[in-house]
Amino acid sequence: MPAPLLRLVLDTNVLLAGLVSRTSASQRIVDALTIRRAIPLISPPVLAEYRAVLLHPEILARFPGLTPRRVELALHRLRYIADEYRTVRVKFEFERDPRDAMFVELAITGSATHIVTLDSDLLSLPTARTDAGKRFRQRLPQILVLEPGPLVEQYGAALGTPLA
Amino acid sequence: MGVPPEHYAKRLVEDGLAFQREAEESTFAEIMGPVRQAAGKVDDAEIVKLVDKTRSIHHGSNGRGKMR
Repeated sequence: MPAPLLRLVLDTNVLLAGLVSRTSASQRIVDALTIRRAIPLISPPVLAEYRAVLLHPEILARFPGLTPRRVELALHRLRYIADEYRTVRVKFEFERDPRDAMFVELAITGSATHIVTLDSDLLSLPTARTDAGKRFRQRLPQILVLEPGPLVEQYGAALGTPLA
Repeated sequence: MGVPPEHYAKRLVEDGLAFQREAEESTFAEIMGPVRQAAGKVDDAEIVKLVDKTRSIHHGSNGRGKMR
């Protein structure tokens, strides 16, 4: 049976954790992207946030060796393997944290199977009894919003990166 | 004096193509290897805090942010 095709929207915190850590669930997911075991989805606003955060002086200072050139190489690599949606016409109002709306909008546009995040607001959205939660379930009835650990636990074999 | 404009433009294009080729042929592990070695163990809680702070700066002080 073929492995399930995972179409992932990665929150910025998961991308950063996956790029800079040597042994973490986020790192396993990011490395699995390279071998095409899962497809990352990106859009202009998401890519702009990735770039802004990864190139922020505080981030560069925290992680020795993380240079602007290395960041750009990683982002070029990501664009090369990603499904990129240049236009996202969907609007999703997310009062709790409007900055997260772009991840939901990308997930809707790109028919994502998962949003992978370390953010508690996004993680609770599928079960939230709020207006945003209801709209989320209507727009994305099948999607799973998971932390990196549970994603690797569930799909480690498919990702080619089972937990040690 | 200096590099003729056409040569400069050609070099820019070649540099861009070489960079793109390097990105396409490298894995994330190869690109980030030295960073991962130097960073040691990275705590998810620290990542969340760092990203929340820096993305706030990216999105600006327009009131968009976490509602506490």
